[in-house]
Amino acid sequence: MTRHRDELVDVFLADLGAGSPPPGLAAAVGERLRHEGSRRPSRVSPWLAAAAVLALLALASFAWIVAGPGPSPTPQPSAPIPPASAPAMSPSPSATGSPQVLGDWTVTVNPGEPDVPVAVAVLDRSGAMTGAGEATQAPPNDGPSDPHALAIGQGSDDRSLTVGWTGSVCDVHAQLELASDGRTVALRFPPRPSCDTLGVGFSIELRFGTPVDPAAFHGTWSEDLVTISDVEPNVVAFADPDHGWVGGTTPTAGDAVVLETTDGGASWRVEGLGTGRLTDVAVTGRGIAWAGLACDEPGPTCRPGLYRRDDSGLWSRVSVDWPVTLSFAGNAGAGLFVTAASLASQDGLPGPGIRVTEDGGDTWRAIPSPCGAFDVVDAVRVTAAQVLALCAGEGGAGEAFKWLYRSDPAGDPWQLLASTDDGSMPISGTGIRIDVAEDQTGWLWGSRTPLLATTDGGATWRPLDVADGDVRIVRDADASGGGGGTILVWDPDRDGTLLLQTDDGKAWTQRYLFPSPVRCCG
Amino acid sequence: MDAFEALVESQTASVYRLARAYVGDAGAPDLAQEVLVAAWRALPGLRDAGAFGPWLHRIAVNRCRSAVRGTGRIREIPMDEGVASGTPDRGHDGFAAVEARAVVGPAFRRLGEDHRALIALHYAAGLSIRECGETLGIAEGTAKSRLNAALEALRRDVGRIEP
Repeated sequence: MTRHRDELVDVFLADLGAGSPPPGLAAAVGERLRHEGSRRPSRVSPWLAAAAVLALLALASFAWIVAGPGPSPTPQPSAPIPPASAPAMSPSPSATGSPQVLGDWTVTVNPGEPDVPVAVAVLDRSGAMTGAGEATQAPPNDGPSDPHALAIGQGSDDRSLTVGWTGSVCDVHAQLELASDGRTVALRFPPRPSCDTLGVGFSIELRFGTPVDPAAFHGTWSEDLVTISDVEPNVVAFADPDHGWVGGTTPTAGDAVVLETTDGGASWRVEGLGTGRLTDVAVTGRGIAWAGLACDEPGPTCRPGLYRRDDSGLWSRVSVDWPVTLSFAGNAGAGLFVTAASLASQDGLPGPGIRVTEDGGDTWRAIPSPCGAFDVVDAVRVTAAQVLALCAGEGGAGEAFKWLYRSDPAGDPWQLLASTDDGSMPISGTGIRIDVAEDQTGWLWGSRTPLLATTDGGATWRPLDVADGDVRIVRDADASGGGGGTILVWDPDRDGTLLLQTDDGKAWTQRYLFPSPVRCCG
Repeated sequence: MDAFEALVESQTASVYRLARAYVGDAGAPDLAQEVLVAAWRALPGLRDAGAFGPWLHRIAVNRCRSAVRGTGRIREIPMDEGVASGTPDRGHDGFAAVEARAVVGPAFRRLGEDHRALIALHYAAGLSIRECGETLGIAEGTAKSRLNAALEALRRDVGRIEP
């Protein structure tokens, strides 16, 4: 039977790739586009419009990050790349005429980091890539002493300009733009408040079609490369209805981003943790925020672990443990997180681990898991004296089971509270998460489980309509008590993620819509 | 528009097969057309022209998901409809493909959204693992492990329901 099953699946997969579009489909689309031509939005992304030169830099072991399939071509400094063809550059005030970047460029890194590969792409203002490559030499550091400034000087001849700056290994990518005024060079980074390894020098030489005077140029430096519209949110935590955090990732660059609001979602501040995936965020009563960061490829630019943000706005990594979920009780002292199984096994714990703290995160200790050989998929610090743990596993026939246990912070003894075995927990699928507030009201959700609500600490669950009553895929939820809280929910109709709040689980208020970063399907 | 049409020409087959994986033969042409027109309208929002492929396929996946959820304008047409209607198989291997659609198709539709998208992107649209990751905004290693998990889930589900 197994062989027949596998054969059927293989045939099915082969058949998926075997279909051919009916003749004329492409022509039909083309015809429709011609009819739609006048409806096409005229707005061109400022990101593209402003960029005469765009350099994307990747450090350390970074794979080539410039878009486009296939390996990057080797730079050909002696072969000028054709000038940008799409939208004309603004008239230059220079008597020498409008400087036009021809794309003949070189990139250098300082000798102190000779092994750090740097990847660069040069794009014209239409976004088309006109050159790409990696640094092949290690000339001197041309960066200024001020890490937040650019040094602009004459290049190798009167038609070239050297732009230097001091970066860090956290700068997985950066963007260098020559603004449309032809005189402003802007270097932009994603926010990186956790980075503590500043000091790598970079320089890039821009070659122009006409002589240029470095004194006429002005450099700007900013950490604004990532905006809220770039973020795909997936985790949420609110201290109160106005003050909260949303975490997510930028799909294209892979930046781990945290967004803070203090006005209920009306405005947001963007902060970053380098690259990686945020696994959870939490807020304690002291206004301290926490985040779990996971990395597919841990390294200098992605350091998995538990991060804490102090009230001065600085993020720092406080544990190399890799939290899967985070939870703090109402007071700031009692908290816990669940570690990834792989890391838990490294420090000698018997399987996936639960860490608890009683002092606001200064010290953590492991407690026994109730899940045995199965995974702890989530755990909640309901109160200082109460912990819930959700286990998941598969039976011999492949059925998925989930069990919910309750314990004191020592993890002993664990008491079975609800399970899928007896139907007291009607859930299925993966990505099951739970959050229960101190008053024993809370939520349960997952990839195939619409939002469920409890009012008895998790012993019984009932489905909860969200907003318009549609079944929604809840990405994350933060129960605040009284049946209320905050959720992130994917809305396919609006191609975005809604931030919704409720006081009682009945009436919902939309606080924000995070549009899909690709701005799909306008 | 000429450049976009050229891109459309090059991507039509891939988008069509992706749509076919989600809604079957009968619904795929309309859905593919919807995707390509949606991409045209959304083109000003594309920041990185070099990322056109992942961007387009992400739009396609989103549209396909909407279609099978019934939230889009395209009704869901099961992929195994060819069995019920007697539509001749256009797949690669005659009756075997029809049988596979009938048995595996329902299990494919029961997969989680991410798993279904990965299988559709890789096997139907023909994207590499890296391109699948770029499309879904996940790392290549993650895409690979999730695809393996998706295939495992598919085989397990088929094994469970197979007579």
